[in-house]
Amino acid sequence: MRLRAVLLSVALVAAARSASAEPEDPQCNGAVDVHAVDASTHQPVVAATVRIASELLGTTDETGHFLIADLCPATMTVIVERDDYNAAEAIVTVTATARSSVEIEMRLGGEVIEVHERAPDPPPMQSSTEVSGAALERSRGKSFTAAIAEVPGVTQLKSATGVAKPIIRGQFGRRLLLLVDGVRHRAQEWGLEHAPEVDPFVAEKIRVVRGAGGVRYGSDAIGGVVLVDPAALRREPGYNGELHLIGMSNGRGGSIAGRVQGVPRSLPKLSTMLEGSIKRSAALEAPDYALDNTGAFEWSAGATVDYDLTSSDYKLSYRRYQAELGVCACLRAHSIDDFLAQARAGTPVGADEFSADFAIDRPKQQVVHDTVIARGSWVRDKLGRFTSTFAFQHDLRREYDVVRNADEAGAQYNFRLNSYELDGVFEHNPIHLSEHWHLRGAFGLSGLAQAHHYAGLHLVPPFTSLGAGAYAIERLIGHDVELELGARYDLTSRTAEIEKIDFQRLVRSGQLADGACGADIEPAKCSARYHTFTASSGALWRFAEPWSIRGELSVAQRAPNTDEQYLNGAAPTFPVLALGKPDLGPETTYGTSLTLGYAGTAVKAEASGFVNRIDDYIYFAPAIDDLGQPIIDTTIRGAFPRFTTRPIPALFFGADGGISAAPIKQLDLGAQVSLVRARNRATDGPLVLVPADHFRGSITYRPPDRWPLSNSFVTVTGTYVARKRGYDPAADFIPPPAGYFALGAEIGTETCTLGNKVKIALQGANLTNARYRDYTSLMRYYADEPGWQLWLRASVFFDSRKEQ
Amino acid sequence: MTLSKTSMLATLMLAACGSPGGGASNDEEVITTLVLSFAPTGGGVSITAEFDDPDGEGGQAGTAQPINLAAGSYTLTVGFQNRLEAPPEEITDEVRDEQEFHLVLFTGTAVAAAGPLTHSYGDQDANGLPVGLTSSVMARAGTGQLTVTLRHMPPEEPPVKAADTVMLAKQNGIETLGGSTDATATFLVTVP
Repeated sequence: MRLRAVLLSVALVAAARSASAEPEDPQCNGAVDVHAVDASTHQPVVAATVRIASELLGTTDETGHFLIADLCPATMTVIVERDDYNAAEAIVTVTATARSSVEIEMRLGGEVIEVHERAPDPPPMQSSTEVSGAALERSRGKSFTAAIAEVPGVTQLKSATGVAKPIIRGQFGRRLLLLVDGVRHRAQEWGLEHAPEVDPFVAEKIRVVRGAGGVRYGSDAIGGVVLVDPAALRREPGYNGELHLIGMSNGRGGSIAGRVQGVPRSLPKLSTMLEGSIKRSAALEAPDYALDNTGAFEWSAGATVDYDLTSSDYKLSYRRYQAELGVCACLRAHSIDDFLAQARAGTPVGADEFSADFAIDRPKQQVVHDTVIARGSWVRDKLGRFTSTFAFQHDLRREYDVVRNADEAGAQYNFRLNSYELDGVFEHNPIHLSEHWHLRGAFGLSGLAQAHHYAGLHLVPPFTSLGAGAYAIERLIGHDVELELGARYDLTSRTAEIEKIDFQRLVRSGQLADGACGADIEPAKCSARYHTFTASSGALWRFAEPWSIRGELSVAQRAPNTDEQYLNGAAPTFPVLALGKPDLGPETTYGTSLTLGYAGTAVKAEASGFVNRIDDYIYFAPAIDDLGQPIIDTTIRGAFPRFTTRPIPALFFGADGGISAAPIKQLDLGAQVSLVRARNRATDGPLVLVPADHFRGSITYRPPDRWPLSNSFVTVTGTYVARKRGYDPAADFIPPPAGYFALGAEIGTETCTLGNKVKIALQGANLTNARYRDYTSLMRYYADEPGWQLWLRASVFFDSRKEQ
Repeated sequence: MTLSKTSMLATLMLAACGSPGGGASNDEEVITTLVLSFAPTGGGVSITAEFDDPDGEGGQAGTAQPINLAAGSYTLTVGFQNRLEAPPEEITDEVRDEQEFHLVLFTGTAVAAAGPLTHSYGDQDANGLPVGLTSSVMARAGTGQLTVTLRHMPPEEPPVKAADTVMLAKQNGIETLGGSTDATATFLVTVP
């Protein structure tokens, strides 16, 4: 918002000058490129005003630049000012035609309000979207994944618990990184039914980077990266906070969430934050029947303290997320006959008995996720900033199946993953190569230790893992052009303890050579070590304001996950027998993407195309015997198709983009599209769970403010999801569901009560109560998606420093 | 230095972690073996046939022994075991404890109209509905396939099992019932 205002004012000033000056005068074609930088850090000084004598010319842009054009030959003094800096000036001599440039160093003022704004991170070379403000508020009370589901290129992989995980450009789970407060979320992300254990209320801003972001974030960021930024800490004495109340019609539930931040007057360097949320809902209802047992109970709590000394900063935070999620009683994955009978029936077996009550019975999931983050950062004037983060994450997941003796049986699948990470990043100060070019960059080291404990029905083994990584990334920044190069190396070492019976099963199935894990197989200790390399290059060219084009080329290697190596048992989600491949090698992605952007004042648009060729893509698919027939295992629960993980050559490509336009002040029009295609290059067959084409359009009307209401709006949204084209009957079991159209709407406003901002909104989804199934929802095999749904949200924002 | 400190720290912490609980192996739901025992009503030696999957699901497929009966009437008892445990765990008792939620179904050509076996349930749960752990069987000359299925009915209260459940399963297929299959095996029946 502020950036747009700055750009706008710069544009206006520039327009005014070219109109008032006499451009025809050949004597007055001189120009001066002013570059304002911080004297100690050499970071650009953004939004500083530039003037010559008393004539105000404009403000510097996000790179600290401002161009003064149409100058007549003379010697003049250029003055640059910003509240928190001492004014600085430079004497420039303008010649008739040549363009000169001047770098003006600015020093922080003596007794000023401390402004902690660092230069923003340079824009990623991939296409990216930020979800914050109103867009994020719209998703309050829904799942974390719903918060980013409206971003181009993002779709939801919904599970039978009603929660979902994000899919970006056809990749999810293992190939998609989620970073919360800069720390990678470590959980059982491999499971299709395992939604991210993140409370969406934590986020003040969510950034979605589409495309490989492996160098900075970890080599397995093949599909993209989701960065969850918690609320910015308060820096001035006083307190502020917010409280949200949300009620939902379908599920007859609601959420309460709140956050309080405070800085004591006696200790102005100490910033504290407390936050928490609680959500309870009954089972959801599809148009014709209840989705029995999909009730949910979730809560989360967190505390953060931060001590900020000007040249260093120390932060400690703890968060817990806990949830009990009922799995739809309509799920039938215990045998292929039951599964297919249900999938083909149209209406779930026993739907007459289904009820939308609050009780959460078996089958259900219980999850707990704890995160502790300790972070210190130190600024050295002449060098840059060093940041070190230690993070501990504890992820506990218990899954309860329908069993005999349920009161005493406990959970059938118990996963506990403890992750310890330590990383250090050094961001050097911008290095000025010339007046027009400077270099920004960072070097980082990271270490990871993980221990996974497992108890329950045979599925995945316990393991311990150690990893280390090193990376460097540099960006050459010019006025209109930015170039980036990065490289990363990771070493992963892992030892899994496989029970004798599981080991023998892998050997008998041909997935593992006998003796591959030594002579002692009680249990077999299978070790693997991977060296993976990632490199990327990117370029950004603002070829004609407000147009820009970005491109990147990358090669990334991802080490296989433990489940891909050692999965061994009946998968809880699908009626298949799953077998991992312990000796899998890393998969290698060669990716490229091109993004065209337009950032005008009335129209903003971005369109992006991508191609990812993945060699040795680790794919979970039906096992085929020597004669080309699917392998069926006969067990005491009937016949099961055997699925194995194995490397295949794959190709993903597609396009996504969005446009928002304001033809008149009160009206916003938006449109988005997401297209992904994926092929097995060996067979030219389709891959499973690659989203169907998504199209979305919205119209928002913002009436003029009328006291006491402000920022009122009405939005109507339409989403069309096409039928997925192409499917593999052996791997997908039933054909993709028909396409569907979902209608949504929202009305909201803002007011002030006792000096506190209050926001109220009513939102509706699937307003036509359409019966539909979604290709990337696991529910599609069992039941329809939920019917119409209303959310009523009320939020109060308070601050000890009342707005004037 | 940092690195060695880190690895030391990591080692300490890893060592401190516990198991996620929920029982050491939690195999109470696993069934490896289904045992049919035909006791002649007039007395004599019982004839047994097993379906046994010694390594559980996956790997080696289970095998079913043939059923060879002399013509006559028998009391058939069905048993379920988990032989991955030592000594083998008797699952039949658990089924009997929750008989309102379990149903053993007998299908296949062996119990069809022209088949060699005539089957009738010999036990009832608390609601007066068949369970199938004990049955009466009449054998006459012929051959056919007998599929024995242990169905775990949905955990709804009141129980979903009804008077017509067996009939519906035979008519429309077991997969059209609610709940899930805990064990199923097909045997070849020969009555000379």
